[in-house]
Amino acid sequence: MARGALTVVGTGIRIGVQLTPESRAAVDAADELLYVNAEPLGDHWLASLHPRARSLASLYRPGVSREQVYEAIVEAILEPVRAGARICAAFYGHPGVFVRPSHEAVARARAEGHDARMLPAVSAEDCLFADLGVDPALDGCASYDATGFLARPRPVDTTAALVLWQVAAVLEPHAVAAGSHGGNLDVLAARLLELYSPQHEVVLYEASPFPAAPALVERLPLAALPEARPTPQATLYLPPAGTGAAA
Amino acid sequence: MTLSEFLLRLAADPDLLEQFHREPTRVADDLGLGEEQRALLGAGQLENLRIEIHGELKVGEEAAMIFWLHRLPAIHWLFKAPDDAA
Repeated sequence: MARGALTVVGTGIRIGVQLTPESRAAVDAADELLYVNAEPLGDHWLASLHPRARSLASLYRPGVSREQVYEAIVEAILEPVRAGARICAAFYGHPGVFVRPSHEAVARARAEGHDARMLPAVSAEDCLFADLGVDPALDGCASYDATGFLARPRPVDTTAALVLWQVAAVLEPHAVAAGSHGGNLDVLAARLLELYSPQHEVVLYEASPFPAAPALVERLPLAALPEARPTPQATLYLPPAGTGAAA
Repeated sequence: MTLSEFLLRLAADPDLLEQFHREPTRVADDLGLGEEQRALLGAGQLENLRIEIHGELKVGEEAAMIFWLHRLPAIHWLFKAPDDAA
């Protein structure tokens, strides 16, 4: 087996302008750029970066299990590496945050004797801290996938900030039609109301993927969460109890 | 110029994006951004921008669903029975 090389990079959230110089150099040095992106516009930008750029989005298919999709992504990345190619695999956001195939591809490539590394990037949480004016060091900050937060109950320190990811898809095992997401927010709200007052101000947040467009910031009392209609990409931010939501 | 084309120009040129933050009208004029697209961008509603962009790029329902699939709960132990969870 030829010795190949794998560099996993993140493109950041805001299309185009959050790719670090270090990651851009890795893209330029690669024989092929493989990518998974969350916005069709981002696909157009990524395809322009390298003469041999290929999206792996087609590996996502309704009805195919996440395990199968992730295994297919890992193998699609490793196949050219095993042939001796220098591959750059790009994921949106930070490639090591909420991205399982990236970690698996690096681990498997190393185990097979190839050079493999992951470069850091701008995550959605980084954008949240900037857009909401939150310093996670001030009171502490816990961060969970919303479904995981419900599926594996654990003590919650309400004096620290709480960030719940993928709230629009909470408890959703399958893709739903556009506009139908957020149907289980009442279950999430019921759990949170055991911990916080109904008047506690929370924020539905989405970092903007589009240059020149602001983030989505919707403030509401916790009691109103079941009626909220978050965007599919929304995150829920709860400031520490006893404080208002940040700027 | 469509909104998609305009945003891709900004995405490819951080200096132009910085100029847009200072002089949005001038940059929009220079690039020939349409009035409706300016209004959409000015309103700053992400979902409306997304709908416009998907329309311009002719993103079909199936493709849109695939992008939504990215957003399903994806942490590995959710796939497993509680006894198997790492």
